[in-house]
Amino acid sequence: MCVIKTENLVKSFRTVEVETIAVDNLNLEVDKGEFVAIMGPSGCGKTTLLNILGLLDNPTSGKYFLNGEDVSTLNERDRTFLRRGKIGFIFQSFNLIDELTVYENIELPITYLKMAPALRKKMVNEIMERMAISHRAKHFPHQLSGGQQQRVAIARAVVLSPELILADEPTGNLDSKNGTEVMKILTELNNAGTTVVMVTHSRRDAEYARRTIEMFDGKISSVTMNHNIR
Amino acid sequence: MNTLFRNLRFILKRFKLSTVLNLLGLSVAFTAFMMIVMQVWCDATFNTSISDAENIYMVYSKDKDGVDFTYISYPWAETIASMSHPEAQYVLYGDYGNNARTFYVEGNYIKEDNIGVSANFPEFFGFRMIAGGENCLEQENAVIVPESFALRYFGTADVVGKTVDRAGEIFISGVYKDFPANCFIRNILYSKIFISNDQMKNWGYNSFTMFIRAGNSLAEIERGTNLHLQQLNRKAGKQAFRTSFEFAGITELRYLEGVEGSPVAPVSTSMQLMLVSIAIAIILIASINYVNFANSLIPVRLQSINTQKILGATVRSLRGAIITESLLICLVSFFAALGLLALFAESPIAKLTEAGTAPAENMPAVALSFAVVIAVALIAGAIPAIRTTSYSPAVALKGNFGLSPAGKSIRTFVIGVQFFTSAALMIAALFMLLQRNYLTRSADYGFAKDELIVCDIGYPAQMPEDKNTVAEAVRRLPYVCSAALSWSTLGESDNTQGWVFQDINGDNVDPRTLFAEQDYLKTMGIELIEGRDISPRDTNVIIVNQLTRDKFPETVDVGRKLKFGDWYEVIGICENSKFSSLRSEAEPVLIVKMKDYPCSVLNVRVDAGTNMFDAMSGIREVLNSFDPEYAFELRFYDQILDETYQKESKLSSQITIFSLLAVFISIIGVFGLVMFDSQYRRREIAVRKVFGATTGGILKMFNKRYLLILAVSFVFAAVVAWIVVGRWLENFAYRISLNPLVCLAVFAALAAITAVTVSCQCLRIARSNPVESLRNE
Repeated sequence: MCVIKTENLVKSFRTVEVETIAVDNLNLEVDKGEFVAIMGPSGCGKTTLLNILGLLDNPTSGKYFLNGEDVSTLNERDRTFLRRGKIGFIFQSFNLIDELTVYENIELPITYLKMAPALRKKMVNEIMERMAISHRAKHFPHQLSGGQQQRVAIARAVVLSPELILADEPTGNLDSKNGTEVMKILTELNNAGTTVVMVTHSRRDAEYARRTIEMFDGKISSVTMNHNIR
Repeated sequence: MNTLFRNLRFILKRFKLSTVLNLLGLSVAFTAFMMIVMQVWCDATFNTSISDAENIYMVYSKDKDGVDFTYISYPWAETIASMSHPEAQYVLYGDYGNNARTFYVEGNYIKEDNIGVSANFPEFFGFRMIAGGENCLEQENAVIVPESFALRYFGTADVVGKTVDRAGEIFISGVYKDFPANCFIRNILYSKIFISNDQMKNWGYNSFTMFIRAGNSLAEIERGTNLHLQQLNRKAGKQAFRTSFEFAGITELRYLEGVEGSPVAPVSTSMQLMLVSIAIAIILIASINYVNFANSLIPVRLQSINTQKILGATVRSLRGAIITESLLICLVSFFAALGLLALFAESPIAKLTEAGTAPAENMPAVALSFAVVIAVALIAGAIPAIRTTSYSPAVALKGNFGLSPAGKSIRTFVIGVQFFTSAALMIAALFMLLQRNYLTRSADYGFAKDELIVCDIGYPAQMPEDKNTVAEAVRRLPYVCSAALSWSTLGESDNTQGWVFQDINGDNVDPRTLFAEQDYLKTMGIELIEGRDISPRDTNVIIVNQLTRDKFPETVDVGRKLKFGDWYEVIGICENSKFSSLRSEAEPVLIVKMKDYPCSVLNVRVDAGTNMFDAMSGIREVLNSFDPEYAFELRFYDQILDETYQKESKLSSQITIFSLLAVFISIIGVFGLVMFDSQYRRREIAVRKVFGATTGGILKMFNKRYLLILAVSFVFAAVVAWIVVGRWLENFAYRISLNPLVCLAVFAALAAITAVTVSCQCLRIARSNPVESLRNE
C-alpha cells in the first residue's frame, strides 16, 4: 500500500527578480514499510521535498497523497493536526529544545494530543528504555554528547509510533560510530514496520535503505534498488 | 565614528518599531523623571528665594487639645516681638482661606486673591519692587500687585496710580517682581491689613498669622514668650486655651503638617518619598527595557562584532562603541524629553506640579536629571557591551547564549519588577480617584448639597449695605424655597474662625465659629435637633451643634447664654454637619448671628426638580437688578467641593498619570522582552510547530509565562498598594473603605493589556512557517 504518492509535484520560490523551481514535476511513490534514501547535490530540492512530504509546506502545484488522502492544499492548521502523531521528524542538528529536559523533549509531541499523564509517562519511559537514555532523563541537551542528543531526537520522533519517519541528514553532525548507531536504530524501526524516508549525502548511510532516489535540479534523475542492505 | 552611525542606522532600519518604541519609552521615562525631580526640588528649596529666609520664623501655638494653629492676636504679636532686645521686626498676615475678591480693571470685573498684610510686609520679605517704594502699603486703599498681574491686565508694568475698583478708590501703589512657585508668598494683590481698636486691645481676637525675624534671638524670644504665656495662663485659669508658642523657620514650612492656618499647604515626607521612589522606579524600568532591547539585538550583531574582532578591533574599542551608542540614544531621548516638558509648560499637565515643567525655570532639576541620564546610559550600555564582546566566535555560532537559566531568571525578575510598579501605581491611582469622588460627590456632609446655589455678593459697589435686601429679593423667586446669608461657604475651607466665648461662669467656650443670618439651617438643609433656626428678628443669637453641647453639657443648651462682649442666647441645637472639609472630623461649632457682622455669601435653596441652570439665570437676574454691570459668580456645590479638594485632585491626577506612564513603559518592556524571547526561541517555536503545536498553542505558551509573572508580581503590588493607600486614607476623617474588587479590576486590565501586547508581538513568529527557521541546517 502506498503511504506517499506525489503526482507532478512542483514547488517554486518566487522573489521580485527570479523564480526558483526547487521541485520540478516530481512523481514519487513510497510503500508502507519501505526505507527510502534521497540523495543529490546541495540545492537539488531534497530538503524541500522532505518538507512537503512532512506537511511542513504546501506544493505550488501538483498532488500529494498521504495514505491515499489528497493533502496538497490543506491549510496550516489542518496540516498540523494531520501531522500530529503520524509523522516523526529527525533533523541533522537534532533541534532539541534547550530549556527542556530529555524527558520533556521526548514528551513534547504527546503534549499536543492531550493524553492522560499516566499514559504519557509510560510511553516516554518505554521509549527512553528502548533508546538507552533513561539515565539521562533529567539532563538538558547541552549536557549530552552528539550521539545522545540524536538518540533523544529519535526518541521524540518515534514516541507516538508514527507510521512515517522523515529524517533529514540524521548522521550529518555525528562521528562514524554514532552515525552507525543511529542508522541501526532507523533500520530497527523500519524492520518493525515504520516507513522511513531519509535525505542523506552519505553513500554509506544510503546503503541502509532499500531504495535510493537520486535528485538533480528538482527532478528524480535515477532510482536504484539496494540488494545489499546493511 | 562612521561605524557607530552605520550601526545606529542599521538598527533603526532593521528594527524600526522596536527602536521607536525604545526611544519613546526612554523619552517618556525621562520626562516623568524630570517632572518628579522638579517637584521634589521645588519642595526642598521652598521659601529659600526669600532674602534672609534662615532668620524668619512663623509663630504658631498649641492649644490644650494638642492642636497646632497660627492664629494670633495683635497684643500677643507685640508681646512676642518685645521679648528680644532690640525689639524684633515682625509682620502680620491675614489669610482666612477665602481670599478671592472681585476687582474692576480696565472695564472688566476680575477675581483675584487679595490678602491683608502689615505695611512693612514688602520690606520684611525683600520684595523686589519694580514700581513704587517699599513703603507703598502705608497708604490707605493701596494695593501692590505682581508684575504678572500688571502685564496680564494692563499690558505694562507701569501701573502705579491705576485703580482696581469701580468706585476708583482702591489704587495700585506698587508693582513687585513675581516670586517663584516654591515660595509661600503668592503672586497676588496685597493691601494693608485693617486692625480695629478692639483688635488692638483684645488678646482673644486671634485673627492673624505672625512672622518674626528672630535670627540669634530666637531662643530668647521663645523662652520669654512662653514664660509670659504661663503667667497669663495662671491668671486665666480654666479660660486658658493656649499652652505654648512654637517657632518654625519658613524654610521648614513645606514639611510642617497639621498646623491650622499655615499659609503653606504642607507636603508629607512620606508622599515625597513615594514620588522619589516612583521616579527611581521609572528610570529603573526604562533602563531595564533598554538593556533588554540591546540584548535582543545580540544575535543579530554578533557576526558583525566577531568579524571586527578578527579584523583587528580591540574588545575595548568595540565596547566603547556600543557604550557610545547607548549614550547617543539616551541623549536623543533626553532632549526629546526636554522638548516634551517645554511643550507641556503651557498645558494643563504643567499644573500637576507646582514647579511647572518649563526646563528653563528648573535648571537645577534638569542638571540633576542629565547626570542621571548619563549614568543610565553608561550602565545600561555597559551590560550589552560586555556581553556582546565576551563571546568567542565558536559560542556565537551555537546561538544558545541568550537562553542560560541565569539570564532567564534575571529577565523574569525584571519584568516582574515592571509589573509590580505598574500594578501598585494603578491600584493607588484608582483608590485615590474613588476617594476624591467620594469627597466631592457622594460623602454625606450632613447638609443637603443638591439644589443649593452659592454666590458671594460682598464686593459689587452697587450692592446695598444691608445684604438682607438682596436675600429678600431672591427669596421672592417662585422656585426659591429659602435663602440665607453667611460669612463663609460651608465645607469649602479648613480655615474656620475660632472666637472664644465665655459661659455664665466665665469659662471659655471656644469651638469653631461660623457667622450666618436668618433661615441658615433651613437653607443649608442642616437638621435641627432642638430649638429653632435664626429668624429675621434675631440680633445676637447662637445655634450650637450636638458636639458643642456634648463638650459643654453644663453650660451650653437651648436657653443658655454665652458672652463675647455682648450676651448671645443659644436658640437651637443642630446636627453635626461637616463645616469644614472631610479631611478632619466633625468638630464643635457655633453658628452665630451677630448684629452687623458682614455676611455676604448668599446661599440659595431651590425647589427639588427645578432646572438648576435656569434657577441660576433667574438668581443672577435678580442680583444684576442691584448691580447691572457686575459679573456675579454663582456656583453649585459640586464646583465648590472640586475646588476644596484641589490638593487631593492634583495628587490623584499625578498618581494617575504616573501610573499610566509606568504601565506604558512596562508594556514597552514586555514588548521588548517578547521580541527578545521570540527572537531567541525561533528555532524552538519551529520545532514545536513541527511536532504539532498550533499558532494558538504557541501564543498560549507565551501568554501563560507573562501572565504568571504578572499574577505573582500583582500579589506583592496589591499588598504594598493596600498598605500605602490605607496610610494615605488615614489623613481623612471621612474615607472610602478599601475594596478588593478594585485590585481585581486592575489585574484584569493589566492582564488584558499584557495579553494583547504579547500576542501582537508573537503572532508573526507563531504563524511563520517552521521551515524558515529550520533552514539553517
